[in-house]
Amino acid sequence: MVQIPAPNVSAAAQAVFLKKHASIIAATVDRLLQEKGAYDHFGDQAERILSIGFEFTTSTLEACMAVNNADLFLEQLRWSQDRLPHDGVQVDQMAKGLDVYCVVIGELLPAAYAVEIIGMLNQVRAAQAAESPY
Amino acid sequence: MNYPTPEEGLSAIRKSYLAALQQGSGRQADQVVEDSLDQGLTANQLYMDVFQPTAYEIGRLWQRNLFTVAQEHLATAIIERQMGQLRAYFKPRVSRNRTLVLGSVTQELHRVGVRMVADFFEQDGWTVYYLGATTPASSFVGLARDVHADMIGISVQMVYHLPHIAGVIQEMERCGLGGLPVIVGGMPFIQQPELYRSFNVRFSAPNAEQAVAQANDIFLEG
Repeated sequence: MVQIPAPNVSAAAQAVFLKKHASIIAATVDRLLQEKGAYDHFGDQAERILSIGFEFTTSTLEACMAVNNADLFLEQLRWSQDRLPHDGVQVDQMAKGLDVYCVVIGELLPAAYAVEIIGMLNQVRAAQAAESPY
Repeated sequence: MNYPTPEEGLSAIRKSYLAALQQGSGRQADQVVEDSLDQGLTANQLYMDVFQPTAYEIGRLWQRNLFTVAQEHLATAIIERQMGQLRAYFKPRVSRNRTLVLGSVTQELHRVGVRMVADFFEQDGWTVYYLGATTPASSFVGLARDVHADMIGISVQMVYHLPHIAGVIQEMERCGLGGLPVIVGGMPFIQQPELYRSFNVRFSAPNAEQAVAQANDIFLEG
């Protein structure tokens, strides 16, 4: 199993991320909903469902940064890949969602802090890709 | 004639138990428990080798969409009810003059695991204050202070609730209970046995039996 080095996201970066928690989720969801047709199958629940998903992502990321442990986030990504297709979110949509999430972090956080957090996310995603049989 | 090994016997019990829960049949699940006790299985074994692995298996099956939310809730309710019915088996065997306050952190709704731990400590002679799910940090610490607890036990199942452990520790320090030993448990600590080192706690344990053994070791160490 892949082991990811401890990410060491600074306390300052974590504090800013926590402060921007709600706006990161809102901006990510807003941007994803602009993608024509991608979430039509959720009907008028699309915004609520995506918001719940990114609330989970953001809270989990905060916890993993707080305990300086990227492997926990990887475990949650594995879980999501198993579960979310049954909830109407396909694996490629998850990947796209995380791409957008990283872009939003880059836009809403000061560059130095964004680099730390996106670096951690990229490490986890690379580890997950290395595990994937596809 | 081939007789089943103990592990094969347990595996068969787990299968029957899971099937009963999947059907939402409390009576069928009761029958599995009664038959198991008749066959000589102890209540402790039922907790450790049937209830706990079955609860985790149900979580895995839900993850793969093979169990509905309703089935999962029903199964949990059946397990909790049966634990209540088995409580007589967890009468203290000895008296240890030690007190434990334990529960799940605030917002954490899972409580079956920590309740199992509570019963094992009680059987081991500890005085146990089991707070159940979603316990505010101030309640953990306030009760621990009031009952002169010797240890606090904290359970977390969802990764995003992990930071609440730090909240309890901070509240303990604020109230002058910073020296009290703390133990932690739950799925993140099973997945990563060394994770407890990220917090100012003594240890984590993957199950109720080991939690009791390790807690007693702390007092043996003096």
